[in-house]
Order: sequence, then C-alpha cells, then structure tokens
Amino acid sequence: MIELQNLAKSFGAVRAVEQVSFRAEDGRITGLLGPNGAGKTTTLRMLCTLLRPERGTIRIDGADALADPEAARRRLAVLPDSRGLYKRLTARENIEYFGRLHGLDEATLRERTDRLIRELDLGEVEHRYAEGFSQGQRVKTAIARALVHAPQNLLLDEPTNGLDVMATRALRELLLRLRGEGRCIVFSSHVMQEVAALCDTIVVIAHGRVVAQGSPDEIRAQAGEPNLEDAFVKVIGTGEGLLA
Amino acid sequence: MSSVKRRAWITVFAKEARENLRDRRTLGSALLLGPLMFPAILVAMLTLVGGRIAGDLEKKLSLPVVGAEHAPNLVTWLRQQGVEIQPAPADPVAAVLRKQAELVLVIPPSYAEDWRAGRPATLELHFDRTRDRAQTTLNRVRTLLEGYGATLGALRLAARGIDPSIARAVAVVERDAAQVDPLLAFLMAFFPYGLMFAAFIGGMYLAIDSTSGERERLTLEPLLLNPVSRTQLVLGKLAATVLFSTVSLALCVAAMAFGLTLVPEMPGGIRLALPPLKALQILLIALPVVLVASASQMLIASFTRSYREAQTWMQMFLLFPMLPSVIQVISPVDATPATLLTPVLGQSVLISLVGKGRPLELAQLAMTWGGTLLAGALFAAAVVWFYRREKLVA
Repeated sequence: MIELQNLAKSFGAVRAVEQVSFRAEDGRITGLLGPNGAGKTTTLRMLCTLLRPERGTIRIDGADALADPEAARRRLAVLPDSRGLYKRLTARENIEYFGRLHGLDEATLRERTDRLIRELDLGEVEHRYAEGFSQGQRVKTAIARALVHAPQNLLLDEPTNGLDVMATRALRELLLRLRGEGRCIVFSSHVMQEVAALCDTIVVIAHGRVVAQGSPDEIRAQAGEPNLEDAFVKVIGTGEGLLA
Repeated sequence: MSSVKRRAWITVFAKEARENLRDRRTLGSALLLGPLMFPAILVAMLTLVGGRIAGDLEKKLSLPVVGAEHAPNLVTWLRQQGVEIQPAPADPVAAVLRKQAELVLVIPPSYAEDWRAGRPATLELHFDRTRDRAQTTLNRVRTLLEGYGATLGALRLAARGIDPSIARAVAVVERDAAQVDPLLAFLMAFFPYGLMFAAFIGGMYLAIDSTSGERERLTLEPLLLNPVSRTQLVLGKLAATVLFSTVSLALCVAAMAFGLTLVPEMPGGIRLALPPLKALQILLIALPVVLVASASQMLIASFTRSYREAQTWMQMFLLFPMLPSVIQVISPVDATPATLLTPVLGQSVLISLVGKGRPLELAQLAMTWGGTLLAGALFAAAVVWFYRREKLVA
C-alpha cells in the first residue's frame, strides 16, 4: 500500500508538483492520468525515492519512505521512464544483476529469474546479449529486472510507451495477474483508454495538483459526464497533452 | 541487511568487470594500446639508434683532406691509424652542406711554416652540426688529431731536455659514479611517462562506460532504484576501473622488461635489461597511481553527459598526468618530501632514482604511496559526493 500526503517539488522556479495526495491500495491498480508535464513523472520519482520532496509524506506499507529510502526501495518494483539494459549482458544476466543488488541468495535468485523468464516469455533471448533486442524484449526484460525481488508494490511510468500491440497486451495481462496476487500497482499514463481499461482507481493530475480521484464511476459522477473520457477532459480543463 | 550492504560493491564490481571484458574497445585500450604502445616505441627507437651508432663506429673513417701536400707526415700518420684519405673537394663548405662529406679536414698553406717555427699549426675541420651523425665522426677525427698533436708536442719538449709531463699541470681522471649505463638511466626517466599513460588509458573506457555511459544508455536510473547506497555503487565501479588500470600498468612493466631483451647489444657491449626484481620495484612504486587515474577519470565522466563528451575531456585531461614525467626528462627534480608526496611526480622521481641503480628506500616509497593514495581518496570522495546529488538523474 502506498500513501502520499501533500507532496510538493520545484526545480528552480518551476513548480513541477504543487500538491499531490492519494492512496493506492493492495490488490488494486491505481492509474495516474494527466497530460504531459502535469507532474506524473516527478510524483513517481519522489515515490521511488529518486527525488526528495520539499514537502509532504510518503508511506509505503506503512513505513516512512523519506526516513529510510533504502527500505522503501526494497518494497518497490519500479519501471522508470528510462529503462535501458546493459547491452553486453544477456537478458538473464541483466535480471540477475539487480536481484543480487537486492541481496537475494543464489538459490532464490535462480528460481525467481527462471519464473520471470517463463512468465514474460523471455526464453528466446535469455542467453542473448541485450544489444539488438526488440522494443518489446527490452521492456519485458526491464520489467523482469524490476520484479526480481518480488516486492509488494509496483510503480510503472508510462509502461506502454513505444510498445507494440502484442507487448502491450502481455503487459496488461501481467498487471492483472499481479493485482490478483494482491499487489499494489501504480502506473502513470497520458493515454485515457489505457487508464480506463485497467484501473480500479484513477488519480487525475493537472498542473501539479490532483484534480479528481476515485473509481471510474466516481470520476464520472464528480464531473457530471456519462462518458469517462469527457469526464477526464472536463476535470483537467483541456484535452491537450492527452491521448485517446 | 548489513551483509547486503557489504556485498553490494562486489556485485557492482563483478558486473562492470564482466561487461567490460566483453567490450573490444575497452580491451583494446586497456590491454593493448595503453600498456604496449610506449614499450614498443622505445624498443624500436633503441634498436634503430643502437644499430646506427654501432654502424658508425665500425665504419672505416674516410676523410677528405684539402691541402694534404702541406702536411705529408700528418697524412701518413692518419693513414697508419686506418683513416682513408679522400681527394679534396673543390669547396669544403659546400661539400659538407650538400652532404657529400660529413667532415672535411683543411690543412692551410701556413701549416708547414708554423710547424717549423714551433707555433701551433692550425688545422680546420668543416662540418654541419645539425647533422647528428657528423658528431660521431667529428669526435673520432678530433681525438686522432689531438693525439697526434700531443705526441709531437711531447717529443719537442723531450728534444729540449724537458720532461713532457711538466706541461701537464693537472691530470684529470674521470670516475663515473653511475651504477648503470647512462642510456638505461635516460630510458628510466622516460619510462614513468609510459607507465602513467598505461595506468590512465587502462581505466579510461571503463571509467566512462560505467558513469556517463550508464546515463547515456538509460541504465543509471534503474540502477539507483536498487536498495544500495550510492557509495557502494561508486566503490564497485571504482574497483573495476582500478582492476583494469592495474592490469594495464603491470602489462606495461612486463612489456618493457620483455621488450628490452629484444634490443640488440648496444655499442661497447652494453646490454639493456630490466631484471625481474627491478621491474617489480617499479611496479610497486607506480601502483598507487591506478587509484588516482581511476577516480579522477570517473569524476570527469560523472560530469559529462555522453560518452563522446567524456572522451573529449579525458583526452585533454590525459596531458596533466604526463606533465611531471616530461618535466622529469627535461629538467629532473630531486627527491624531496614535496616532490615525493606529489601524485605522479613522486612516482617519476622515484622510478628515475631506481633506474639509476639506487636502492629503493622504504620511507620514500611510503611518501609516494601516501600522497598519491590521499589524492585518489579525495577524487573518489568527490565522485561519491557527485553521485549523491539529486541532479544526477534530474
């Protein structure tokens, strides 16, 4: 479970995040929807302890993430915006490297890596250098790498960016399965369809603030629009920077 | 939890070392270009120079003489000394400048008259000093002529009933304190340059690849999301860079020791050699440089945004560690605490000393290690500071 309270962050004179609060429950997929530049990525980067907020609190499974960032990272799997692989390592070696950095013992590491390679259908590239992977193979390897320590919480920043249809579908299936296991999943997107199709809870962010949050039904009711996409445009105030 | 922290740098180290062993560019620079270039050039130069000196010495001395008729005795004596007397060129200066002759002896018409009057008889030698080979010939001819003059001068004194040794107010005896061949000593002054080059080049690509390369390939952010302190990350990367730098340095010393065995014997029966014990001493002296080389290059790579940018900076930066070695060749400095404590300069000074055959003193070694390790630690601390900044990923 992830709880954010009153987060704020500036870069110089630019206030990237004004005030963001939300709660992401276990066993649910929480979507951050907002146009490009709304503050989604900055929020996620604070959440995963890469950036330190000027104000506010972050609790992950009840623990204060700002007080102990390393403990917070152990509870988080993150698929960040930049998801490069080590080109001269194989898919398996890329996954194992991060597993070892998480302190997994070799037996657990082998078992987890085997399972992730099977589940994400990476067998074909398991022993190939990451140089020359397709976009889908790259993202799947990056996801496996992020999940290797089997954390309770999962953060994904625009996960379907640049993915083809097959890879997107595989990713959606994975997220639904993880939700079924009771994990807490948060992902950001500027694609309305994607958020509408996957999320149990939607947090709409614009200009660094949360402008609406709740289940799709609650968002529709809040905006007084029967159509979810119309509701999004209405609460944000514009459709600019969003994708249908 | 603490065991994870302790092991994390080893995990980073192992990954960086493995990944870069698979990179031809790193291998090429760390294991070929860096360590072997300098010994190869030196061995080639020595072989060439040595061969030429030997050739000049063995060559029969041939000497064009102008005005041989003015000093028939001298010419006969020169012939007896094995000099091949050549016919006189029309214009001695032009002959020298046109490289038709290295040296021309001119005996002026006044020679015979001066000789008979007991005045110093003038002999002229024409040569071109800008031609370095002329120097060898000049020395040989001058030695012959001075010997001739000294012998006849002594005879004149003896003929007047005077002990010739009275004309020698002092007798200079040269005793060379050098314990090794001067050529080898000179070479040892150059050697630190090659060693520093090897140490810096050896770790260069890994330093770039593991810092600005990591950012450029978008792997830095995922890496920082692991529950590992940034100090541990830096330590692992530094350790891998140090490893490659050390291997490069050791290869350079080994290549030098092996390369010298390929150099043919120098004139005068001199054989240049770097015996194993001396090679190990040199490696021991140079070793702490790997930390300075690795940490300073990592720092530069941390500041730059891309591989290419880092490379450009690094090549400029490479001049600084070379500077002390160059100074040491042009105008050698003494081994004082200040010079020994200065990173890179201290190594140059100490290697030159050992190259001249002095024993390696522990106190001096400790000073070079101390000063250099301290500088390396400061650079490493700067990298850690840089890695801890939020701006690293922002």
